[in-house]
Amino acid sequence: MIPEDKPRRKSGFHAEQLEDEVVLYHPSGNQILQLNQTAYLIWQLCNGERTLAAILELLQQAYPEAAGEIAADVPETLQDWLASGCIELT
Amino acid sequence: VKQRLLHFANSTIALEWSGKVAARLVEFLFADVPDGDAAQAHFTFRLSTLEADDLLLLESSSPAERRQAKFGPMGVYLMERTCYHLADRSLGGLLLHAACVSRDGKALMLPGVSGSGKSTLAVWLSLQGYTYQTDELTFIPTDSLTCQALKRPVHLKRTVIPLVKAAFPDLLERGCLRAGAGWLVPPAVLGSSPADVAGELQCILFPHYNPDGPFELSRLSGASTAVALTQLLINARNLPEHGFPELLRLARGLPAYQLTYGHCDQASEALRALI
Repeated sequence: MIPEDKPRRKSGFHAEQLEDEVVLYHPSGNQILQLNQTAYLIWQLCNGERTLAAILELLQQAYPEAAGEIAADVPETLQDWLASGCIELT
Repeated sequence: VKQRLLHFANSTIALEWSGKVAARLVEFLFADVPDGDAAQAHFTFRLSTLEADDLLLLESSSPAERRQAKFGPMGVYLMERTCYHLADRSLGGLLLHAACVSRDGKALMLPGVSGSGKSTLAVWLSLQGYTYQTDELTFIPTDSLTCQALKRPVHLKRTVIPLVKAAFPDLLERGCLRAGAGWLVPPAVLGSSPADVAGELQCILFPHYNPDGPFELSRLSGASTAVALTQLLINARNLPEHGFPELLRLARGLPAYQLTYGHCDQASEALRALI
């Protein structure tokens, strides 16, 4: 992914809170994702208008002590979600 | 030609047979499976005895199937195909790849893929005071926790036979059937009768057999449980929203554990506390 990419949640996914995690599933297919709260926050930020760079900036402002990990992990997570079909790029 | 209806998980198939050898196999495999309504049967198998070679022939139409095999291997094949066709039309609840045992009306479900060790664990638990219910298919009706289990002979595959012989030296000599390199162990040998129903589901235990690894029992989160059950749900395409709401209901309402074991007795005390 490049910083200008704008990831967007694919429509139709349901989010269910289970204890301190979130399960995302799409009722039309055999697709389910297990997210911790941080991953769920990233998922919510994917609105199709925000760029990857903007998402990273928001997260790094909120968690400055983890700025390096965020820069490495978030694009990888989004790439995985893109591959599994639960987000798309606008 | 005689006929028997097999009903499980809101699905019914018919099995027709001719000849004494075929009759003996039908009785061995399905003595504990409930009858159904003939009008509801969506599929029919025909099993016949080929006298000359002591072979059995299994046939069906739509879709066409035809297979010859000796008594034991035919038993394994017929059980597999029966599970497939029952699952094909199952609805009204979750049908899972899972073994199940019970005790005092409480059920312990052991979901897992082939080779995960669920059959071996089910046998071991059945010989430790639990009641055998199934080694392969467990059905949980919508909005319920009352398990239904396909009570068929346990299929012990070649790789676990040394483990079973070490733990239960005389088990396979008590009316079990050799099936190729594996064995079929009927419910009666494990002390289970058709009247012994599974009861309310209390706990989910995902077994993982690893002969060289350490014993480990760890609690799973609700989300991990939901994801793991999704991989083992057989009738998803027949259910509203692919069964996800019901899977989440189970994941929210029941404790679930991952069990890694190499010897059955390792699990003894830990499992007694679960159910």
